[in-house]
Amino acid sequence: MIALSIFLIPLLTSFLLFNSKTGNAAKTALTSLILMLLVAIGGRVATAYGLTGTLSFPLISSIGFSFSLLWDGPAFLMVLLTIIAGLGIVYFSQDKEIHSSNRFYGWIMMMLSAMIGAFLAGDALLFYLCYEWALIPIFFLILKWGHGEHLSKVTMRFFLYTLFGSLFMMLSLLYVHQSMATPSFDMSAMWAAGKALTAGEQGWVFAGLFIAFAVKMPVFPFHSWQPSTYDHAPIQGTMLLAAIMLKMATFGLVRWAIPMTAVGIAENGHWAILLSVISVVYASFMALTQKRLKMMIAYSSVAHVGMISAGILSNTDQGTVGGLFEMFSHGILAVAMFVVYAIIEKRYGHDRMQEMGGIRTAAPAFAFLTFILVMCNVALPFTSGFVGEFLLLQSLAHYSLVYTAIAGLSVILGAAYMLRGFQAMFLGGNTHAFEALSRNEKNILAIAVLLVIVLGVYPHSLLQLIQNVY
Amino acid sequence: MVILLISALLGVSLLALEIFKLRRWMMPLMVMAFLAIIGGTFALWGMNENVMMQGMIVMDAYALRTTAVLTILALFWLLTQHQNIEKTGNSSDLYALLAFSFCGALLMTNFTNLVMLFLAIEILSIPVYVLAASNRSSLLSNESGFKYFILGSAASAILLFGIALLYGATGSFDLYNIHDALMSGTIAPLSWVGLAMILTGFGFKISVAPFHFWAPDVYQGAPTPITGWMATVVKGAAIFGMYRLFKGAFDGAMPHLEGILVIIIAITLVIANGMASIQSNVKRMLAYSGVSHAAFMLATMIIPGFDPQSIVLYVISYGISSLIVFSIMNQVGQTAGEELNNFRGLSQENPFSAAAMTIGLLSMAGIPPLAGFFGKYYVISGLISTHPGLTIIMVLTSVVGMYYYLKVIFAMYQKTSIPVVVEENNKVVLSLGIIALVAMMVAVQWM
Repeated sequence: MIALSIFLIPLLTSFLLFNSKTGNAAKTALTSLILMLLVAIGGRVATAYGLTGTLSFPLISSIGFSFSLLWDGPAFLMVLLTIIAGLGIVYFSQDKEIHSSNRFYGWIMMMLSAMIGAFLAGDALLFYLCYEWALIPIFFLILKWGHGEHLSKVTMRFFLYTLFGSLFMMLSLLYVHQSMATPSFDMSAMWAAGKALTAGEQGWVFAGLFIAFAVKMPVFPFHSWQPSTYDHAPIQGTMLLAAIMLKMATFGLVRWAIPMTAVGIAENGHWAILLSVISVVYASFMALTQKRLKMMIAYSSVAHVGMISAGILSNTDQGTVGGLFEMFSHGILAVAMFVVYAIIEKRYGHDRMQEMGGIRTAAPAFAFLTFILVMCNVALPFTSGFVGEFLLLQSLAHYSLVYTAIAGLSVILGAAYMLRGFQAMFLGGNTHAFEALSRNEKNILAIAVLLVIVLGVYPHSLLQLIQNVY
Repeated sequence: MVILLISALLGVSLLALEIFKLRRWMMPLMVMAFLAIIGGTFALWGMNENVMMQGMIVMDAYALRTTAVLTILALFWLLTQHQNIEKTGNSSDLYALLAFSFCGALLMTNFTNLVMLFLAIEILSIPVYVLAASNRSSLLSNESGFKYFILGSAASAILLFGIALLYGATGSFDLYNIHDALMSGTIAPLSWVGLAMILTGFGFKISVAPFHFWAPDVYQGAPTPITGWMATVVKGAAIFGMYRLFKGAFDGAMPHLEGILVIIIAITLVIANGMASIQSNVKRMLAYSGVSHAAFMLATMIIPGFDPQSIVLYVISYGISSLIVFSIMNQVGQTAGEELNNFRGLSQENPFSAAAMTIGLLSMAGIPPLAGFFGKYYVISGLISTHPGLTIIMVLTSVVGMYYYLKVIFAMYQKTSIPVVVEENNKVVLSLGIIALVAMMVAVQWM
């Protein structure tokens, strides 16, 4: 019931928003998100006292498709991330001018609902449905509220690319589903059926799943949709994509790919780990060459996700736990970094880093908060970035020391591009008037910094949620 | 039997209403007849097979299901298109012709004899030849009717020739006897030629490559409501008849025909989706997309076993989505035109129409959780273990399909200074269709 209500609240809110004409759309969305947060935390506490949060009722019994939602540690973690990131996005944009804001927030809430569905799904087909359905809201968000010259071309490429990927996931899931005596999409049945396949078959099934996830994450060489989409999307859409949507893919690796095809990955999945490691290094170098802040954040996000993917695929406990932790941390960080971008872009009218300078003199508090976020991005100890990155590298070291060394480069490269960018924008002479931060902007950055530090100093608070994933 | 009688009498009574100057009763009469047929199928649901007319037709579970599906599509077509038909001024002729063609469509689902099949196809097709040319002032409509008539009759002739050859080889028109003859031992060369000709004839009727060339021209030229009828009820009836014939009677020969069918399906998917993506006329694009959907319907024939759930689901989901799309396209076509540019900015003045068309197109593209996804799902899941290569082609061409559907959606949501303004269609009916598309997810299990 808890899981169901968390899935339904944003969906109903979105219908409400679509049908409302008056303003206050942001307030409605914010209220609903706070309600979700209360239900989620209350539900988590209640589960500890023996209340069942899961739910399952059959929808199409002939193919074993049921509407089943789980309420375990990893699912709770991702839902928490979705709600916190959603709160950040809505809170950040509530004082902005947005045309037809009721529909804008309606699409955002529908998107959150679809993603929560994917995180909670205990049924492979339900996961696939939500994974695909999340495309529709973001498609309209980019198309209607995006900007730029080639908007429709970019949106089209984004949509077709991700759809192309996820159709391969459907083939893989169907292949596993077909191999059962009594077909069922239930999670444990799918896991068992996947394990029963030969290593060769598992390799193919994994390949289909990984193509879908690699497009969404994105992992080199499937990343070409990402920079232009991030660039053309409205800032809220970029946040949704970077903070939550790509986590569906990394979460899909943890929840579906690894348990079903562990043997296949170990024997025929080297290419995926290699691609992830290449992705880390490639994206780091790309970030190093970027002149625009938004593009730099986008590529740094690719590097982080490549790291998550490589760590998870090396299939150790540290990798899984570290991957989930890093997903959470990166989600918070992505929202915060894009808020930083939005703040600067609003004041300068562009985001070319070399043409800025001296923001620290004008806004020291802003510079301080941004500096901590940057430190988290380069995985400094006592920030949440360190915990995740460390666990992931440790896991990768079990797989291959060479890969670890190569992926470890990303920490150094990350420091290089992040600090270079910080230096260019914040230090040096002041050449541009810099309006003080609004209350909203300050609050959101402060909360993000607080979360990042608390999780870095006391990671156990989250780690205990996800100790026994399988 | 009663069901068939209702459908046959419907056309005659529509003509009678015209004589007695009771035109305004035609639409209610048709609705009542369709509802009666749907009610009849539900009343007979789960009954034993009922062979009638000296073993010429049979009312079995398959016939009842498919009859219900075709009638629901016809009813939905009528509710979305009746204003446009009544605008033409000769609604009684059009309605009567449609009713006759509907009678043929029902006959296509329950024949057990090849002679009956040929009759059904002719009853189904001949009124549609006339309907395609029913806009007498339009040259395109005349061309459409003429082309459809020539090619359709040629296809019928080939089909009839095939039936004759098969009769020569097996000595019977009866499906059960043919089934036994094909199952026992070797199949005579004469039967093979007959089977190939029947396959060719059906290939024309359901428009799969390489027999699809008539479809774009005919679809584009015919009045849009009639195109909607051809794309849904007529195509659905043809594919239902083909399913009964090939899965019911020819299953002894199916293992050998499978290779040919796989090739036909693969070629159709590639050609139809490729051609659709370069069209600038939306109606023509929908015609090619209809050809690609025909390939999916044909693919249900190579799923092992006689399990009509996949074909029934595909026809109804494709039918309802395309009826929604055709009804909006008709409104746009009347005020602006059928080119892609004419759809620019539809969402600004007609948000409901744009949203309905978007949902219809997304369903045709197979985006979950809409009905079209489940239609594709059943086909692909039936084929993935036996024909993995074909499913990959299906998936890749689906992405191409998404591309051309998206082009229309983009145009509708584009910001322009002179948006197209159209007369809204009946919102209640369209909403019902949209709800059906969403609710299909749950309704699948009863099909």
